[in-house]
Amino acid sequence: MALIDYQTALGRLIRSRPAEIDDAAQRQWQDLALSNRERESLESTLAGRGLHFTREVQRSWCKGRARNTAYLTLSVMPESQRQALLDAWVDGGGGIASFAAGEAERLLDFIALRLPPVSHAISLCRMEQAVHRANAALASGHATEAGVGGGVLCRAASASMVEFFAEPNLVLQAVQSNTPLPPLSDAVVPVFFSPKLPGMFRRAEPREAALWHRLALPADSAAVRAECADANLAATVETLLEQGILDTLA
Amino acid sequence: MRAALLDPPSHRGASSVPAPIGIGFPYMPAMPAEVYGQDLIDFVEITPEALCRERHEDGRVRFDLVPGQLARARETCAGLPMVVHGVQLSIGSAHGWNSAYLDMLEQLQHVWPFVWHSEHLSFQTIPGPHGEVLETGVPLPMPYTEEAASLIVKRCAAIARRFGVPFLLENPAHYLEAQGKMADTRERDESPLFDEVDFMNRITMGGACRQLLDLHNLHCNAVNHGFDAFKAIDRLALERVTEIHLAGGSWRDGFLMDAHDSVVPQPVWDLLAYVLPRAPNVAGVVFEVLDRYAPKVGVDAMLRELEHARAIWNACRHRRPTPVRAFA
Repeated sequence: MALIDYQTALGRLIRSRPAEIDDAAQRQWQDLALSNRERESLESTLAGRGLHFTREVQRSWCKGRARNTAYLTLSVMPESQRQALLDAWVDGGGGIASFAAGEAERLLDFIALRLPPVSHAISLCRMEQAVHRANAALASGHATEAGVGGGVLCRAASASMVEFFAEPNLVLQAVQSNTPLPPLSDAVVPVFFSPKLPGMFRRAEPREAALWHRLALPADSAAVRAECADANLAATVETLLEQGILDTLA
Repeated sequence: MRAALLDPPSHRGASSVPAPIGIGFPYMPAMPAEVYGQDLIDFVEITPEALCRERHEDGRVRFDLVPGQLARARETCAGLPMVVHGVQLSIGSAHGWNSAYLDMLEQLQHVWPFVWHSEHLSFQTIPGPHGEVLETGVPLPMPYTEEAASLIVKRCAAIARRFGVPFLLENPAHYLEAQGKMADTRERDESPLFDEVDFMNRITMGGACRQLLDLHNLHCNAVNHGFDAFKAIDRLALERVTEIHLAGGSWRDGFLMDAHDSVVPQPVWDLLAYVLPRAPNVAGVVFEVLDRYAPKVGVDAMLRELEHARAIWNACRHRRPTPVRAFA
């Protein structure tokens, strides 16, 4: 057996979903140069308990990677909800990448779509996503690049604004001490995350939060200023550009 | 000795036998820093990927050492000799290994030299349908074939030339029956398959790498696949063993798992006491715990395991055969 064909066959078996494994021999190996004896050997492996256990170990590792990536978000959920989310993520092929940060963005979007829009869990989920995003920008060096310039304002790719439905410190303290979360409040507390901010975060002022919402789509800088007719807006824009929260497009 | 004289200078260091260091412990950021300042630890084992971020650039993956994490690790382990235990090389992947790991390791060696480095004798990537690299999500054992052994031997030689310090490969735990058969017998069928011991010997006797003998992995394989670990040790090329790993595991679904989630079980201590007097070139023994299980095991229990390892190490030092400086 050529080593590469053996490894491909075994690797596909381990990666396949439960529904796919039964027809693995017929479908998954048809393009590989396997002799009859080699095929029989792999089919014997397929029938063994060890293969299924190895798949269980792999599944456990995949869940572990996801759990580490969304640690805070998952920690405030009931066990049944946490397990259901992890199962769904891993069933869809998630968690296989050794460097979980590479799929953090997708995982946290996946979880966010399944959370109530007003909840502490969604705040924590978006916060973890914001931190991963800022860290990725730091690692790639993009955080230190100046904006290209020009007249179109947009949100910086490495920045985020997370809305908390209670005082953020109280939410985080409750998570850390495993005590009940504070009640949900109508007063939203917006927090900016950017790799250029000291400590990577700070509270957003109401005017800044409004501008962030306004720039859900990139907008002409002059139009934004004209809309707001606010003498301080230019200074606000400059501050947010300096702090890597906003960016400009050419 | 002849091999050492003929080797280029960079390769010579890779072929040399490291002097004994003693008892090692993995670097875990969550551990109290004081642990690494105690006399119970003679050297530290670093998994460099834990100090890295992955980056995609021009369609290639790169690993960047994160300066803050690296500085913290160096500060915590200040003064201790350091060895590397990597997890991302995938040295056995026929389609190609992880060159980003080796590039990163070179950066690490430049800023924080290591006494030796090690990896796992396994593969964890396969080629995808469009030429992309697919991860398997868990390391998988190599088939015991000459083709696989030759590939590994060649790659070990390339690593030895590049890094100039000893390179070790760890015997893995696995749960696939086909790989586990016949580990303590010399019987073979007509197939060209080696068993676990023959396969490791074929690679380490190739000359460019030495063995990291993981006794808990060996114990798990012996229990799960039904062979005698002591007889397996008797057949190993023990002069090639440079480092020993100890760990604990747990049972799940009828398999003994190499989970690194508990203290060392007695059969593994027995294996250590058996192998140390027979392996002349062991330079270090490391007790492994996964960082996420460290709180469950507890600092006091971990320190007791280090004391236990040291007691066996000291007791066996005087009974070890004369170190072998060159291999036939």
